[in-house]
Amino acid sequence: MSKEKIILSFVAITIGLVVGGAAFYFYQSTKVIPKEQQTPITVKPNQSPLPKVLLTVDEPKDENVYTNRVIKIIGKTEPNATIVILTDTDEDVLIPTTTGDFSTTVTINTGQNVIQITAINKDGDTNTIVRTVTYSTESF
Amino acid sequence: MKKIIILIILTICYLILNTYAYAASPSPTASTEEQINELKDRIASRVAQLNLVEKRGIIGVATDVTGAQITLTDIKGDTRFIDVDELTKFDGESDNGSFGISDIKKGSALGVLGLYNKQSRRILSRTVEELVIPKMLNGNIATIDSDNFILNVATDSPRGEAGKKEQLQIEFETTTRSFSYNRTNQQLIKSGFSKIKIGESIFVVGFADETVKNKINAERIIILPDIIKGPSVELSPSIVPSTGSGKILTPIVK
Repeated sequence: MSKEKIILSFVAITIGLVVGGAAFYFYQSTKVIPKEQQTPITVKPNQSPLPKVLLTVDEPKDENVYTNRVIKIIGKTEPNATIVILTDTDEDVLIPTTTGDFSTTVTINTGQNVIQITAINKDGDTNTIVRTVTYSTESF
Repeated sequence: MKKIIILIILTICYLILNTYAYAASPSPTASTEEQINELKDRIASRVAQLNLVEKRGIIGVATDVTGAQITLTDIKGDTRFIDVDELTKFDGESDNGSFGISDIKKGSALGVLGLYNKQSRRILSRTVEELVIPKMLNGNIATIDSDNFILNVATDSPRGEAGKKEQLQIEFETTTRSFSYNRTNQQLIKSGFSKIKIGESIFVVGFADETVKNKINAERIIILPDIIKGPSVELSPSIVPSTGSGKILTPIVK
């Protein structure tokens, strides 16, 4: 094959691609969605305000199943906060360490238990985390 | 020459013995390999299955009950799907003695223990138990009705309704256990109704009164006397008690 033929083929392919691309662009630009079919999407900001008191609970994990009645509660809050722990049958109030860490143990009943952990600061601002934990020795 | 012959004989013997030993040792046949591969596949499948499901226990309120499925709204307000099969055990009060899926009504509080499938996000229940979920709330004391032993509490975080402000009546019953937290000694001290003051932070565990809306019969109360009136809680003394049936009670003016 001669050099000229190769160059001509290359030029022809390039021209073909340009023409084809332009035709596709014009075809796409003619497509217009009528206004009545357009549905505006509005993104609503999260309405629940951010809690003013830091609280994280590392243990227990939500919906965990335990084979021991006594379980650990471990978490972190602000150093000047007070931690109030409420369960179906028990209650405890803690002061965290200077770094904000806290840990304690609670006794749970057979079946499902609700554990509510609340951090409250001096101004009365609160942050609450609720965990559901289950005591069961049943194997399945 | 003799030595060479002996050496050749010994070498031949060694080679023969070696070959015999090699032939005598069992070699994996095609069927054994198949069995090993099958076993490997089964173990891998079981491991994948174990990773996919885990034991979980949830609490929620039934919103729909059909055939072999219960739809719950859990404590966080999320919708959960519970599958029921012939191995599911039920526990609750029933008119005919044995509690089953047909006894579960919309609005029933249930505790479910079962296998949670991470892929389908459904729970295959093993036990379904009817529960009475206690209410846990915190707020500040707005008014004290010493004659009727009722505390009006302004709360901004009743469980499950985060961010919604509410005023509740807390009935201090004879069985109610109350504690006050001493931050200096870091101790919970037994307390009484007379020691409670307006504005103090209060934590309550109790049960909703079936006859009066927004009324909680307190089982336990914890008072934090050092923390007075949160900025996000408005203490409004004007609480209009309701009967729960929509009829509003108006105070008697003498």
